[in-house]
Amino acid sequence: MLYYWRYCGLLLHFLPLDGLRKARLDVKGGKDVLPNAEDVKMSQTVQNHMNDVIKRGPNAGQLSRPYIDSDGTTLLLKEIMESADPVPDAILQSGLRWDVSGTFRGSTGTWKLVVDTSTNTVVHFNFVAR
Amino acid sequence: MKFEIVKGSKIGNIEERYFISDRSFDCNPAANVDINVVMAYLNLGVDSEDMCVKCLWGFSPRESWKEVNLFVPSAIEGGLRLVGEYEAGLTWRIDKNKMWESYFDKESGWYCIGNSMLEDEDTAVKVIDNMIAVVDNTSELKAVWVQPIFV
Repeated sequence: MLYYWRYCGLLLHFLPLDGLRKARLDVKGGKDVLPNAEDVKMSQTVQNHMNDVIKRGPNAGQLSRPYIDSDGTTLLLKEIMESADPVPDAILQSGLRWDVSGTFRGSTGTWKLVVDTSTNTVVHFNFVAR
Repeated sequence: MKFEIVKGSKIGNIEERYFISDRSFDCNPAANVDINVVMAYLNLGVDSEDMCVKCLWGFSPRESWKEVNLFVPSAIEGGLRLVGEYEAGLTWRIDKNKMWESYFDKESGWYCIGNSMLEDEDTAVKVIDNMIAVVDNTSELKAVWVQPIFV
């Protein structure tokens, strides 16, 4: 099954979701500490370049990173979080990281999401092309 | 990913800052970038019009920085151009095999991500007043140095 997310004519999909898994992490006394996509907020860092505009090529005039702040952002975060088990982040002690295969603007790559669970804040959110 | 150094003037009237509360870098004033080259969680922002690096931005918590004595490379002034075809609106990772590490010299205030050891054939270019990029003799980016304003 493929999941699609449409934003301003951009088609994104995740490959493949074999059911929506709810990861459980054995941290902090074994309690679930997974954030909800509906509740997380974006750090200023993540928002800083959300209005950058593409200047050249087939997507000229579009936002460079439209997935940061749109009607579909929460859904996208939810799908990423439900597509893979997070791992403890290597850089941020209170961070959880998701790496999920997908496509964006016709390129295959990986959605990278890091959430600081101590503040329920997305500190890194990117699509990295392969 | 290959880079070439463009000798000439660095980008004027712009400075790199480190936002303590947000644990992140960005430049001031803000620069529009539409290609990003990512190392760890930091982005080298490139403008697709001239393919030159305009800023370093992104998350870099201080607890991940290794405190060391750093020897800042002497650098020529100029620009750093990303070479090759990269579609604007996308991000590419430069540290695919192992995430680049961050170093900080609290005496000098210089931060470095990547390989902080300079070799004879490396070239360092000051692209912003307080930011230096180091490219090796195969045109690969080796490190980025910043002496940020902490705000």
